[in-house]
Amino acid sequence: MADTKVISSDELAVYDRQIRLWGLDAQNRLRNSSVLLYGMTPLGAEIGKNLMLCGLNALTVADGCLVEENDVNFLIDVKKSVRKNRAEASHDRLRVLNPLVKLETVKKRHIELTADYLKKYDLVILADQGKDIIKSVDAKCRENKIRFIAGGIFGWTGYAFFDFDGFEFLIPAPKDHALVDEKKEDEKQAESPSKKAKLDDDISNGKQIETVTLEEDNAKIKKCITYPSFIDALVFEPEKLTKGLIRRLKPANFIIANACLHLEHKLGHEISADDFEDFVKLHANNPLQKLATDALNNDFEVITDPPLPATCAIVGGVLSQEAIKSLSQNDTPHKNFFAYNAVESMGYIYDLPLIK
Amino acid sequence: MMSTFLKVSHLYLMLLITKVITSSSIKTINVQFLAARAHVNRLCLSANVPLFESGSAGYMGNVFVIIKGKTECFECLGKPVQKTFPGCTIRNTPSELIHCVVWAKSVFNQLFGEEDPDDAVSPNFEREGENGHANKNAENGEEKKPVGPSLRTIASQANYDPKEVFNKLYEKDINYLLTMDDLWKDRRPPTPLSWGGNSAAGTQTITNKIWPVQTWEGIFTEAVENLGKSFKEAESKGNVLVWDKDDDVAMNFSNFDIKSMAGNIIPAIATTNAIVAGMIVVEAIRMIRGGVTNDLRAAYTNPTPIASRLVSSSAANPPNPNCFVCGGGNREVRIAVNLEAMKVSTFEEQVLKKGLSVVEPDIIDLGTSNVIISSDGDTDGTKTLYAVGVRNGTRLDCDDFKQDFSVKIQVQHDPSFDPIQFELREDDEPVKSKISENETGLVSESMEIDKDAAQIKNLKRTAGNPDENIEIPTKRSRIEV
Repeated sequence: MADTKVISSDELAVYDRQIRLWGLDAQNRLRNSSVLLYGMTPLGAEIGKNLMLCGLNALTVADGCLVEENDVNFLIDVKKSVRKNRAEASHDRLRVLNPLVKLETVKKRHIELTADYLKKYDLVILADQGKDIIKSVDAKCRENKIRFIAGGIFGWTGYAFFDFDGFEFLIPAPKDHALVDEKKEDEKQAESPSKKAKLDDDISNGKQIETVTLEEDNAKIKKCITYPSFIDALVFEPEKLTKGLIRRLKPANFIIANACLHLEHKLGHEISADDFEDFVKLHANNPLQKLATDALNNDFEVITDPPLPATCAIVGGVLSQEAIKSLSQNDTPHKNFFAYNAVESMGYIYDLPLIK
Repeated sequence: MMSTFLKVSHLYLMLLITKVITSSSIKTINVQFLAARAHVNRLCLSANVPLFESGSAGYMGNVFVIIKGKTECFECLGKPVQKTFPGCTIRNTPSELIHCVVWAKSVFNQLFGEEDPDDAVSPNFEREGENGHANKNAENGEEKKPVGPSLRTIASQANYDPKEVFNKLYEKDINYLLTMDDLWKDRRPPTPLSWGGNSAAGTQTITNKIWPVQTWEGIFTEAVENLGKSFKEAESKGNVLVWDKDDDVAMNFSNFDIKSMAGNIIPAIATTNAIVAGMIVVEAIRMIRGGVTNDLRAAYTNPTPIASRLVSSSAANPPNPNCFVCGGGNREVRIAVNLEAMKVSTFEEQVLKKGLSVVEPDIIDLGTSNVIISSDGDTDGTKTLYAVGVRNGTRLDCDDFKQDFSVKIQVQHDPSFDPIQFELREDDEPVKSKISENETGLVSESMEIDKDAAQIKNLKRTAGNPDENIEIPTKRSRIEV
């Protein structure tokens, strides 16, 4: 992380609107953050744009792929950049978005994403990468205490996975922590067995609670939040889903994202409508497949079409907002999976693993 | 100017439609003012062209499609109700920042603007009961009135000497407040400040630091002196000063957060804007694929998931049959004004253009067929409504060729109203809409603050989704999608 720098008055003017929303402290934390974005796909472009605009210290965009003739990406002038590296080709259009951010666009294969390289960053984001890459980069990030996000688009659908394991967030205080006096009373009453048990429980769960601001009504507390790893989060045993759980969890969008990730990994190439249909047939006797196919209106083309720009904008927007939230430690983060489906215009937050 | 605006509007619609059809990325319809949005709404209804209305505010965003006869239009929900604060809270027991902002704007008007006795800033005999509501001391025979001579009188007698004004506001008035023991039973009593003679101290201001009292005195002095000077110039021409959030001197009188509150800014951010843009395109594609009769949806995004949904949608609401805009031909609105006091020009500017959002109205008295207002501008606006023959119960035909919009107005006389006050009464339910003295540009009505927040609440209540990007661009360039 770079030396702590306080925001200048020029920056204050540029970021005026967002400071009004998330406050100066949050903006100062963004100002001192460095982010690696890997994968300049259409989703990567959305994320890159959002992060350039929010006012980071530095953004590195890396990719190992080349621009293809049929690529659609608003940060890349495709006509001029065919066969160029996707990250490098997006430099100029990223640069003009915000001259205040240190921008680096580099060619990197994913095997170069070593722990040593990743350590320079406060947050690592993978856009449209395979399951095995997400798994290995997530593991390195957890080990080295780096925030991690992965996102992907499958036609009209898309997902984002968040892992901010062990990071602190400033969240609105529960009512009983809102006032100093009450906190003192808590301490007094801590001798009573039930309270004490609760406190012990909180501490053992890694939820160290520290009251930060104590103004009435908008008191905030620092809370350390635990997240499961990518591989643990994706554990899914369909047979354990009862009707009640299905009704409560509404898992269709997660099932679609999970199936796409899984299929892509298994087949080793971009999935086709036929692949998905075969997959559905294979699990035809599983009621969950019906949920997923209903959510897609029985049209598998929608997940194999090229990434829908609107879906990229929505998933990219939600993903970037979580990135900003985690870097600025501001507000309660969503835990820990977002899955969007444009067929029914619904985007759900899932707390994975789906079944505890 | 209006024709330019119309061209822009048409261009916008065409742009929108072209973009919808080519399904390329669409930006939010970020038309800023309610009147402008109402105008586009009417044009689209008239041309029978689908309109995607959208907005983003903070982490909230929404989009809904307006199709004539199928879904609700922009004006189906009626006019927003403005948020108000009880005067006694502002004067006696402010507990939130917004109370102080409202107070400061009132002080501004008392000193330099149009004086309004209802807007007095000094403490009064009105007391707050336990429940925080006003509780008049009728038994003691005390009448609700400010103490002593008005702030304006004191200030002009002292020739706008900052010391005198300061002592009146922060010492004398506070000491008076302290004598009301009832108020301080459950509250921390205020501490009076006396003038420390630091008028020259630290006018070099630093943003985002807590200032010591000396700095405040310096700022106060500078503001009162500069504004006092401007006021005397204005007064000699028979004018008063108008509070403006982009005037630094006026702003220092009351700064950052405050600018948002007093200037009604709700911030729009890149991520929410991107999500809303995506939602518009998804709903536009849905309409193009499914047609205007099938599965039209209103989509919204929230700061926190609601029933696990961060991005959500529901079937589009049907039109409000009582809507005076899309509800069909002969809708009638009832408007109460003081016929003997309101001038025809005020009726046109305030009631028709601001209240009903028309741009070039023609008004005909349906009883006598007299032309009261002509869009050609050849009618006399200086007479009162009464003088041109409008009576209690008179029905007027309001027609705006530019919007292809017409509505019948039934006028009701209310002698208690002032010359610029009016009330829209739709279906026996009065909708208060006291417009402040905008003709002189004055914001004497402190209660205007938060009107847009109220609009959002209003929409939330009815449609279950937020609306409105009330975004006012800064003077400096900024980065925004």
